[in-house]
Amino acid sequence: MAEKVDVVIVGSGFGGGIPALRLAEDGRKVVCLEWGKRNTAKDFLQSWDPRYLATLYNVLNSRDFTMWVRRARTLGGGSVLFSGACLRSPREVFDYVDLTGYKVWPDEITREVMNPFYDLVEAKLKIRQVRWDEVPKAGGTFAKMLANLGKTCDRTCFDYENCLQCGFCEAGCTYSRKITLLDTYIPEAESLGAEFRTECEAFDLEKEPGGYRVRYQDRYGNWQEIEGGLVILAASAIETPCILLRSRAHLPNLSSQVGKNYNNNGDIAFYFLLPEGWPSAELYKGRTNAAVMCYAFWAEHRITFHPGCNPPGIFSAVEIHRRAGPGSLPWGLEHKQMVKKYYPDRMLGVLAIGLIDSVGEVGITEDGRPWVDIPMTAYLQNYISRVEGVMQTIAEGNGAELLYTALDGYEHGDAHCLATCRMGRDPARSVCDPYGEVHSYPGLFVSDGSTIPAGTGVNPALTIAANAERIADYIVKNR
Amino acid sequence: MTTNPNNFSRREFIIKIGKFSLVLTLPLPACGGKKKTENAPVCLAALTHDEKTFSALADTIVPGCQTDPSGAPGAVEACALNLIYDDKMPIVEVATLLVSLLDGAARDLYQRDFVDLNLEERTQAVLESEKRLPLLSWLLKLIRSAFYVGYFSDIGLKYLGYPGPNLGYVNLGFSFGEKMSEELTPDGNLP
Repeated sequence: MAEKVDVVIVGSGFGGGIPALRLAEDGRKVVCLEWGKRNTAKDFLQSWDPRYLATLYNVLNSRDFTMWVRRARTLGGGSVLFSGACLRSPREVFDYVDLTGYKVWPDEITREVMNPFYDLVEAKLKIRQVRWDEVPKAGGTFAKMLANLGKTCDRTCFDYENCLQCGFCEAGCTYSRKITLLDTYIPEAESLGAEFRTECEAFDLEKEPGGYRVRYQDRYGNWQEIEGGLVILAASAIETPCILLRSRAHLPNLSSQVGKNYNNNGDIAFYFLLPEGWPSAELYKGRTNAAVMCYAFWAEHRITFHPGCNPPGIFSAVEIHRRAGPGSLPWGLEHKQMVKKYYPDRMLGVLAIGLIDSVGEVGITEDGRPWVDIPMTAYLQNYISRVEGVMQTIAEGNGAELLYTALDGYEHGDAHCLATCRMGRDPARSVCDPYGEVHSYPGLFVSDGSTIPAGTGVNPALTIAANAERIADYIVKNR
Repeated sequence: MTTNPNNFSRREFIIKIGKFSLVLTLPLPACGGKKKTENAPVCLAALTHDEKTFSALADTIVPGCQTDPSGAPGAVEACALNLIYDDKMPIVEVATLLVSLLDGAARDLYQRDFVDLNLEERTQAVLESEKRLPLLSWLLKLIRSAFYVGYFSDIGLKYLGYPGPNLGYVNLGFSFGEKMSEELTPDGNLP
């Protein structure tokens, strides 16, 4: 006979850890299943060794190998491994209408509705805007490039205290300077009786009288079952739809939209080759996200930009290259010479984030393993060209050269996975209602990035967290 | 995977004999005829055809002192072979397939095996191989990581002038320390 509790949560990142606390505060018996280990600062390394990163992340190739996505695999999820940038989505994000005329965010959710939930997360994680003397030179250099064009560039908000700028934010902060769910929501929930079971991977679920039964594999490889009056899926925008798809035989009325509408937040990475004579950008010094955000092109293009700091390992993961001539391959003698000549003083990485339609998809193989696909459509190509045009303007206005990533000039974002179980009123266009409750399945909720109906315009962590607060608030008041 | 009669994996075998200094007798990668120093990594030697092919591939992706006119080290000297043959990496299981791919492209283009090509020819053969198997780009990333991530040796990091992980740059002038641009928002967030 399966174990029974009030609430089973799958995933302990922003989407799962936050409801765990709020429901524990409400007196519910909560069990949270997390597929990663309980890593803390002492377990983290200042290393980009893929063998080490494989202990923290699960990486998935797209089917055509043109992109890859990573999912956090550690207690606290993405809150532990993200860059720390915490920004509110602009108002226009919530009004976005796609090419088919569909307003992707439900009317119930606006920036004004989200504001109190943003406040909650910001207070809990002590999020604040950095000072200029906390902005790494890479960020300062990018701000200067925009200032030279008469454009603005704003300092970013982070959940750090006394950051040492070592640059290993996404390998886990070895100095405990990033305030994560491990420091806040999770221990508070545990103090109220919530249980976080690590190295437990949920596989599927089925409807039971009075709730749902979740089947999972524990750290010893044994299959276990647990029943929750409520079940909240928060296993990432890749895993959550896969759990639902594996459960379709038991949940036949699931929306056909499960796994559809995958959105990478419009991420595109570029590099600038700065002109000679500029002060060194010292690429390797500073937090992963270089602490400034350019909103200057938002009004016209619905695109934002922010630079990053990167240790040399970036040249293995990202295919940085020139468009033509020497260095046009992301490897080889000329590439090596280019890296030697220009890193770390003059190669500045910048990530574009933009509002785009959701064109990707997540699915499962016959044996239930996930796959992901973003077809390179004419629509995407047009978006890429638009972003490239803006980047070219910034480069030319500063005498810089625009470098590219990936052989086709487009490095798909790998971390900002969204929209695969999006919220909405219409089951034909969405998977769950505006409060994360799966259509046709009362008591089954989704609360992670997969519910976010489309791109967030900026780094999505804070919006995912605030939305999880909003869904938890709804559950406490209504279920 | 290659094994010796004592049933060690090849990697284990090299590490074990390395402890007895016998490894010094193997043709380890080295630049400019320099002797092995205290910090020099113990790189796997390329003995078999597969290993020589991967070594040639590594030397194509990040050319080392045998190929780079400056004599600077590359992926071979950063022990890329150790990573390719690491038990935790998925390459070992498909090593023969990948070698066949590279040799196939090399023979189609130049009628010779991959290891017998010069740098320019190997470059063209890798590009042709990537067309036939896009997944190859992952192996190229892995090879680059041996040099640019620096976990078997810091040879690539030193080449780039990267000081490596440290206690932070707070007192080392990581910031310009002054306002660099006008800002659009009062608190970092658009309304």
